[in-house]
Amino acid sequence: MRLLMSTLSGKSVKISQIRPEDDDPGLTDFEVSFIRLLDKVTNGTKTVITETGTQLVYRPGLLCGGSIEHDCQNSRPIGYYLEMLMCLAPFTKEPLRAVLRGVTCDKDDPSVDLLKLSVFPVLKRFLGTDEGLDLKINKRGAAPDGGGEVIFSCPCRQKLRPLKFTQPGKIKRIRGVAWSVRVSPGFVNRLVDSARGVLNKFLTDIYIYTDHMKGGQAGKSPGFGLTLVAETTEGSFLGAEQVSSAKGSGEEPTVPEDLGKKAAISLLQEIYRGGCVDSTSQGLSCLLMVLGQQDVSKVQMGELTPYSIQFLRHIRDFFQVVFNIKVDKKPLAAAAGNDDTDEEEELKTGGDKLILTCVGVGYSNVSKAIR
Amino acid sequence: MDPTEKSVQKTHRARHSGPKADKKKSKNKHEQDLTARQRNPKAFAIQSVNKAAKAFRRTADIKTKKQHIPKVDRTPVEPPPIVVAIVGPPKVGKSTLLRCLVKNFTKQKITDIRGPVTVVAGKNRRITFIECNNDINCMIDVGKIADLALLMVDAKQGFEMEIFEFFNICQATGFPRCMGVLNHLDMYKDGKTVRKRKKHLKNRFEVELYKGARLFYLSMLVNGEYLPNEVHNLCRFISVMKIVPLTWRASHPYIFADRMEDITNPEDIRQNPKCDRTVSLYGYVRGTHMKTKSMVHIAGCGDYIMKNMTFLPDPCPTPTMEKRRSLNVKERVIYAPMSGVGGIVYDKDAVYIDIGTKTGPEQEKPSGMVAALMESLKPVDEKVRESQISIFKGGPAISGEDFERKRHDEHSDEEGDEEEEDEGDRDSVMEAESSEDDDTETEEAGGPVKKKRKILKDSEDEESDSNSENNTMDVEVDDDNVGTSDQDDDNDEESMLKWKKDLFQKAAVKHRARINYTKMVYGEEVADEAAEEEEDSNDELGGLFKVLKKASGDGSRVDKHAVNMKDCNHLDCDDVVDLDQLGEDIKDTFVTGKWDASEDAKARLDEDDALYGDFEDLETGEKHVANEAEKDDKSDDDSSEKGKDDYGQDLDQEDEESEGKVKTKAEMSAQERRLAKKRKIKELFDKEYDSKGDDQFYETWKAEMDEQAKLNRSEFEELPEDQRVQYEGFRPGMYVRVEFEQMPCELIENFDATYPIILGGMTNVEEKLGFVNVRVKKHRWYNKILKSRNPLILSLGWRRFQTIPYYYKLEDNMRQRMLKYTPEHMHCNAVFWGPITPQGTGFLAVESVAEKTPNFRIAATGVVLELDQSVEVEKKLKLVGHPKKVFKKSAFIENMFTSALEVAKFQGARIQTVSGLRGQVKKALSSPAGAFRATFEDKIRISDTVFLKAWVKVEIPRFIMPVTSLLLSQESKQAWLGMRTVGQLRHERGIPVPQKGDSLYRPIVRPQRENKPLVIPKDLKMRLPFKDMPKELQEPKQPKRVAVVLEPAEAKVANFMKRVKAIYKDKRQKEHHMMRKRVQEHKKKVASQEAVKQEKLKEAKKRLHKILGDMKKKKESASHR
Repeated sequence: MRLLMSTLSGKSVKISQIRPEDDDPGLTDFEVSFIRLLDKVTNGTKTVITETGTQLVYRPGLLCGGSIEHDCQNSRPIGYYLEMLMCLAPFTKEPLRAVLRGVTCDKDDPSVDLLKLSVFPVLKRFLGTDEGLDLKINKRGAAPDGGGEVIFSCPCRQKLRPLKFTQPGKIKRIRGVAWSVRVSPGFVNRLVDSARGVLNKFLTDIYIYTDHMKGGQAGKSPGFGLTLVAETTEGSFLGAEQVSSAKGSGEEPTVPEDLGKKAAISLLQEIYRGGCVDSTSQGLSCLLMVLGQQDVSKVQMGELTPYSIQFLRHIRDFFQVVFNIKVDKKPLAAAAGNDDTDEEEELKTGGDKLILTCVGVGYSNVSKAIR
Repeated sequence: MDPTEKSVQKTHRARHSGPKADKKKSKNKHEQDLTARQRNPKAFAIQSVNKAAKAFRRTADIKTKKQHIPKVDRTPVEPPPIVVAIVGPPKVGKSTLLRCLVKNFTKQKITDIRGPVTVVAGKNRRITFIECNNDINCMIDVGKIADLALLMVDAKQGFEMEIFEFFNICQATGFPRCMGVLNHLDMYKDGKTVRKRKKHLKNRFEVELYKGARLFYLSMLVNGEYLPNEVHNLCRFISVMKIVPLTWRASHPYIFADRMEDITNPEDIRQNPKCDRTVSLYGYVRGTHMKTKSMVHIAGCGDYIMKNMTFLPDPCPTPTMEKRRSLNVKERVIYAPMSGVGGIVYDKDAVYIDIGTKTGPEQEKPSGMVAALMESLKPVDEKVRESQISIFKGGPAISGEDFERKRHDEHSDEEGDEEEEDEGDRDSVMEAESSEDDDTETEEAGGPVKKKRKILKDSEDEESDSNSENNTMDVEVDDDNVGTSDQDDDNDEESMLKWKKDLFQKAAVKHRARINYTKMVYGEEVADEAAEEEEDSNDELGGLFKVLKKASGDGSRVDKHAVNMKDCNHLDCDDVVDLDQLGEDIKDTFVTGKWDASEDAKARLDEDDALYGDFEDLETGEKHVANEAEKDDKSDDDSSEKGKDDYGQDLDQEDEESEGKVKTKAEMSAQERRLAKKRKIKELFDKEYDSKGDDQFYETWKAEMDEQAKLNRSEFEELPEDQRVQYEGFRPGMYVRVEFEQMPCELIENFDATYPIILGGMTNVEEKLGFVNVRVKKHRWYNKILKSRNPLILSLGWRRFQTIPYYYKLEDNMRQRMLKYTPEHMHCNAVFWGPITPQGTGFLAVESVAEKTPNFRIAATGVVLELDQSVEVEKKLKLVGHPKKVFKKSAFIENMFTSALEVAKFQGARIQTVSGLRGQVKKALSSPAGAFRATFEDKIRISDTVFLKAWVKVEIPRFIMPVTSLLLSQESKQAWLGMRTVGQLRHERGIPVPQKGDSLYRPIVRPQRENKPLVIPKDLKMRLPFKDMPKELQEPKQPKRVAVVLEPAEAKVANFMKRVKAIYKDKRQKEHHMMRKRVQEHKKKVASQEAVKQEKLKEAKKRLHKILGDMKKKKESASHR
């Protein structure tokens, strides 16, 4: 994350004391892989890693983008790389088209489906249009061995638009993707059924796509999962997902019904947290707000995740931008009937909503050429 | 709005009789005298479709031309003083004008003006004047900050180079406003020449700027001053001038320093006069928001990081807005610390006292104090708090720092006195302070600290949430749980992790306990530097990479997730959830749930009624009642929130209003109702119709921008100043003090107030260096062309620096081909190593800032196109080789490469001979290194030369040197010398240009060529067609003649015969002549006879025809009869 900020702000970073007392000290394979990916996206990046791998000096170059291919390490899913890439992609010289290979979905990072369903709408708001913004899942690869492939393409911009997004609206529909690879195709239907069982109480407009991949597209190891996203009337997307435990992870095998229910519940929790951007895209939206023009950007969010908090601190360190964080007032319910005087109370919209306000740093994409 | 009002108005009644009507009638001619077109022009509006289309297009063009791309208006509410620069060649009267202007604004006479002078010009306009000297560095810097340039022109001399140079400087920086001031008009004797001269110069000025550019005239000097009314006029123009926002300045903060103090410890200076200095600079923030601790470029000095930035009370405040036309004397403040004039200014280092009309910088202390008391403009007690008791101007504060620190300590003691007892020193105080702030953990993992933290937190929670006891209990319990579980689970874990979990936990329980989110995120904000650093190092462990774990035996897969979790964006949900409770909590987030007041369909309907419900209500007759009910609701509900109250009040008012209306409504007749309905529909239609068309897009865009501007202004308006600064940075218009450490001592020692000190703020990326691709054009007035690799001084962004550009041309196949020289009248591209600057920024180039030349100094201007970290500029390379051995179509080529490796690299490359035979590199040979086999399309000759045409990347030297003109001593200020060109060096050292002998021209000597005869083989010759066969034309063989010697007798006979023959010949000739004569005579005779004969024949024919005619006539007459 700091490397990402460094790349955007053009400041060099030196990270020392990387796990010096660990069993396996220094940088891990996926971190090194991530640095490789950064090297591919940028031009003129200098990275020095000490022999033990516990110290890293990173001098960023300029983002160049273009077509790249990257084999991600299987220890972290593609989501880990893709998340970072999404922050960089609007500022490249040429529109980015990245082919990433590896594990598409795993437990610890957002899966590609979730990124596509919930983060893309946020990115779109900053870019102004979703033309050229695309994530195509060619192959799915479940946790231990991977074998998935996605193509991420994103247009680049000279300047981003400021964001004003404080009214989340009401949830009007729920969509989702249930996927499975190298398991019985019936699994997806079981997932969908159980998830609908929970969600139907709240809303009827639910449609969950089933995506069972076969043969060459199915990756190397079995797995299945469910990604759900709730869309509101104002166009904000709240997403949540659950993935089956990986083969050989030592955990007990996952039952599709349980997973579906769990996914539904996690979506409900996400809705409870609420806000205009969901917890997955909090960090991205904050960063892109800061990297806008010198205008005030405002966004409503649910509870800040630890990851977002860390993100905000990094933003402070690298861009000297401090967010103004206020708790949003809960909307009041309308007077429904004339005689019922007790009706006037706060709406039940879940947890506290925060309004994050910041002034952009006037960041412009210096790598894009003008003719 | 009201229909009744409109109907009351009387309509106009035209007069039909009386003088008025007569007058009107006389104006209009008789109807029948007019042409149809005059009578009814509308009918002839469109005569030709093409013409109409043209006219329409023209109007559309004009309309579109008026539109500009909407930009967010970022001008601050209280803008900084505008910078007015007075520019011109030497001896043109700049200083005099400046004195007069200042005098006009402040009614004070100031003789010695150095550096910027800020004056209050009006109720909402302040002006900073600067005089720009003739140094090109100075002109460039001034061009970057000036909002308005007054160009002084000597009427006698006309426009001099400086003016034209300044125009070009302005152009490169975005063109601020320019106004000309024509001076020395009294040099001319008679009025006519003056008028002519004025006209001539004005025309020239308009050519240079734009049509209608303003040129002022200063007619004469009286007592060393210009005429007061002329100056006054100029001042009025200046103070109402609209300032154009320029792109670069609107996106970069900058400070034009009007005061500089050296606050280095005097002891250090005494020990080492050349030691690095600590300097504080003062000025208004301009442009955009400036962030503390960012990097700034001091033009002419270099890049520095601000150590400290504080805002001060405005030394030159705009007077409070009252309904008065002019300013009184007290409000005409002047502030010019560099010239020693200004109001009282308090800050950390010194106190400044306005010495009023007194011009001398030296002043006795007591009288100064008195003056201070008398002239103080603001309540002093406000400022005293911030000030110290040091009075020496320019000198270091007596005890400023110490005092400050002490005070600060005391201040902090108050805040955290209980901690102070435990830990004596300052750092620990700060640390304690930080730990007090809700949740920031310092990394100390010791038990006592942790406990203390918990206590603190609890206490704060209690503070913040005093009204609900239960909740606090919950929090406590939660916290305890977390703490214990942490300790139990893994004692070895760093505190960081715990802290994180803690945070997370907190986030989870947040809806019960009110937690200050700002503090949660930026908890360590208030902490000391040291604490922050530790925090940072802690971050490093926890940030990108996960928290370290001490050797724990099991490296199982399960661990992986726990460890990874630190950097992943995935939020795990708790498995144990009360689904019903959750469902109940989020019930209203779905469309099926309840809507909030502003969005509820019913409420909206009601609102709608309130707005236009004049008629619909009556149909239902319900609205009145509904509103009443709502009103009751509001009054009953004693809500604690203020917003609610407001809302309620608003509604109440609304109700009252609507009640008033309802009464009238009820009395309205059906006709009126219909009218109202119609009007409403028409309004809607008008609205829709007007906004339709090509304007709509533009209008919405503009509205969006306006909205954003409004938001920008209003968002942080109500916050206190120090908090606002934290969120926004220092906004433009603030007077700030900026402290720098480790500044070169030359800056202080060689300080000259006439050179502007500009602190140009930069965005993050602009601190970096890279290759800058620019489009460049040699200036048409510069009398040399520029050469690649020659160092050039550029002014780009805030910086001035010397670098080595390479010029190149973008060819049709997008190859960047290096050019040795810039084209004479064309754009080309250039690339150099320099600071990363946003695309579209203009720049200008000079070759030298040192030399004094009457010529135009600006070498080139251009614009940044692209930034990169590598370059693609290529130049052509021809590798030359010679055949060593030639076979049929292949040959061995040598001397082209030096090793087999090189050959391998070029395998398959195209080569060709001088004569144009094409070929290909095949494979390296073993014996001479670098030789290779090549094939050609035909056999080449051993004497041929073989070329390989290639493109080679050009290495751009990474050379950049800032022009440090501020650091130079007084005498060498205008003589900054950077890198010299090779030509200059050669010239100075008298080294001739080395020349290759090969490149010299020699007379071409061509040997006479001898052609061999063409030989055609015999068999070929045999087969050739006859016409192509080379013909060997042999002379026909003649019999050889033999001389005959005759016998005398024979000779005699022969002689006789010869004579006879001659006579015979002569006789025949005569006869022939005779015959010819005869023949001619005969021919004549025959011809005459013939003529007679013809005559006779003609006569006969005539007669015959006559007879025939007669006969015919007779016959006809007979038949008629």
